[in-house]
Amino acid sequence: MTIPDPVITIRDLSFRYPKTLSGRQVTALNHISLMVRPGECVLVTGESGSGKSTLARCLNGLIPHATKGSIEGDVIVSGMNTKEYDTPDFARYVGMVFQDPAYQLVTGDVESEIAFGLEIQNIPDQEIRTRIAETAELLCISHLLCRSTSGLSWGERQRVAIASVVALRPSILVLDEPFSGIDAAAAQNLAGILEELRVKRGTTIIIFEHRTANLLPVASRQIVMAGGTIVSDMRPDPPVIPGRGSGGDREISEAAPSCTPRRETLHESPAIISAEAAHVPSLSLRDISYRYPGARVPALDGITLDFYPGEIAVISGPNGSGKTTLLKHCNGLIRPDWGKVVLGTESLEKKTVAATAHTIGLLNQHADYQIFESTISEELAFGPRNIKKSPEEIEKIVFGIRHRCALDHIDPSTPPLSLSGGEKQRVALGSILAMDTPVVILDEPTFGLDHTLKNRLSGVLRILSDTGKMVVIATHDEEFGAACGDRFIRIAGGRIISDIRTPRGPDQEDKRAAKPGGGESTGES
Amino acid sequence: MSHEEQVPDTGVPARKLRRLQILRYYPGDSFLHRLDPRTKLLALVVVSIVAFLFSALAVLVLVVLFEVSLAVTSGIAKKFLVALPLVSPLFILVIVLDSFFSKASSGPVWFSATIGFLHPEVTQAGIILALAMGFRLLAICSISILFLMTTSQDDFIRSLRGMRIPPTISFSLGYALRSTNTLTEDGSQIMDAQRSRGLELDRGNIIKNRNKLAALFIPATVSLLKRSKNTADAMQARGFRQSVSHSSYKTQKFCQPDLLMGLLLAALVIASLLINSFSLS
Repeated sequence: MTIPDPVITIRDLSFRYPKTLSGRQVTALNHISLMVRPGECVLVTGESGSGKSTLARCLNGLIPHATKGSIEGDVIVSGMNTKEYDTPDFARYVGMVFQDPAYQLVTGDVESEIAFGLEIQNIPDQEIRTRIAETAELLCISHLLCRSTSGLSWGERQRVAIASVVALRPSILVLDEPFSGIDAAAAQNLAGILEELRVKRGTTIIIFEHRTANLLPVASRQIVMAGGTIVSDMRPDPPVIPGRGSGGDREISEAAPSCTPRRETLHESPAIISAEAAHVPSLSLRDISYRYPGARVPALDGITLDFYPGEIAVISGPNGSGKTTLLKHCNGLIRPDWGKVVLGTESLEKKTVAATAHTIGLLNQHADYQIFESTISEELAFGPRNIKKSPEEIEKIVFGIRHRCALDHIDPSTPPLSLSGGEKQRVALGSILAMDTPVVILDEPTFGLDHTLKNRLSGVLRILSDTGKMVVIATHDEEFGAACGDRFIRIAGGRIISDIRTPRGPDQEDKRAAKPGGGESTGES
Repeated sequence: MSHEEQVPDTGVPARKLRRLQILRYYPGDSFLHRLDPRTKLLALVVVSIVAFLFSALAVLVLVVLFEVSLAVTSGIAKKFLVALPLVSPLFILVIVLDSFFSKASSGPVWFSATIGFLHPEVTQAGIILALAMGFRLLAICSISILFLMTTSQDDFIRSLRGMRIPPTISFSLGYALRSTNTLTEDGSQIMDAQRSRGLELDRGNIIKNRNKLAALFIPATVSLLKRSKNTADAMQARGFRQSVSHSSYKTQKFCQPDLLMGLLLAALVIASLLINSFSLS
């Protein structure tokens, strides 16, 4: 591809989704015009609901062919208009990697998965073999080739999903929120691989993502979307030499990673249990070990943790390190093989999960697994009703929660199932907070939330902790964790690697100090 | 082996479902593993037909012995023996019922009674018939288990495609086979989510409460629909179309083991015919 002709041309594109059950009609894209040249690495950012995913789906004809709605304007990709060609026609030219890799894998083992797309293109056996080997090497997954797809971790699945489209040697690679399921280190690694792909193959890469820190150094162009339009389109370089940034770009790229080290310096005071001695932990895990049936290595290996009221503990760790398993022990969803979970003064052993829900509200991953009621208010009331709160109390709580979870602009009688991903996540979150339990545990609460909503969430969590509730969050979103936590627990391989308390920030510090046993340990540092 | 590792970040499937997970493919390089899936399918059909056609106990024992020796040569004897108890309740039920209520009334009578309209009777012929029924069941279950444990689904689907079965059917079958795992996982995640919201599923009657059913079935349906929509989109994005045939990577060719298996099956059929005619005369 030596001709600098645009590989993607979008002319005055507008798209409206059909009316939802509740009669809302969303205009997802509003008069977008865009040109992408070969070899560019375009980063598209924007808040939830700004139209990123919709735009991504326009790039290979999924819109208008697979997703219905009214479309105006033209999208021309590799010289083909998406109105005239169907999605499968674009497979050779546009590789599309979706947000959740689990939905993309359709065969039983990694090798067949990569071969799948190639078989469809009727590529001969020998060529398929070479392509598999070459792609696997490029994405560093050669060791996974003989594995079954069902046993892979999120990060591994994602690599396989990328490999399976890259094997077709598309000239354009589109990734929809590739970082939403992986931790910072894996994201860094993935960004490196994408850069390599761009340099070695000249692939045009378009990434839709709101966690931008790792991508700014590799992106040659950054587009910001809001309300279905493009609000800024920065191209620091002339398109002929895409890649290394000029002054302005570099400044951003250096500023962005610096937020991690800054947090490290705050991490100096180790958590000391004795400083909390006067306090009774609201939840403690004593020497918990657990092994999934059939697994050879334990998922948790001798975890001992005490959580105190008024604390926001952030649990982080690589994918598959045992974060979710740990949280599921807290309310008895998983019973430990060894060790004991003590809630207040009672052991959890004899209680059912539903009985524990009076004290612990646990938000599991994926809002879709729990939303079922016909209106938002009913959905929010479901938990409180289960734990026998009075109707008046429930009404009051539900009203407050709608505001706290930024749902007040939506009619409370809207069916929650018709909401967007980010809104559903907030309803799910609200339905846990509505139970008003002394202990709140959240597993990846920021899935699908943008910066503004994350800030709002951390504000809500701070209010909770200031009223003496205990909050535990498992997240791989380090920025969010750093912003709202005051205790940082890192686990890997089912063991605790570090457990550190920090003061929250200058504005919060004096308030915290006033509280008995408020968090920071002055004893040893 | 690496494929035995589990993803720690997923929920715990219900205990009963977990026991079923022994029924899956175990990679290997034995005689059975090297067979073309089509040959194995043929073996499955032939053995089942033999087991259904002949009712002589000796034939059915021979078939079971044949299967056990296949299991031993393919190195999955242990897994095979662990999996068999899964069908044992049915096995025992068939033997017990048949020994009391079979209509074969020749030979010495060992037990006879009348309980209401039931008339249980244990005779020698009845016992032999019951055992034969049990072995028949065992023979059919065993060959299916052997097939499952030694055939990778992907190879199976590829060989179906080789038999000119349209991709939509062969692919759907393969995907359905693989999805059982994902569906179990979805189910347990949904139960976990609702129990965390105070829905009592560990005690009391689930059916009693409308809400309980809705709280489980609606999310299950929604996530299933979402999954199928997303998967369909992802497949289209990778070029999948109905009605267009694809090339097949790594298709197996018939080779020596397949010939050997064919001979073994023929021998089994002939031996069964012989034994059957002897036992009848």
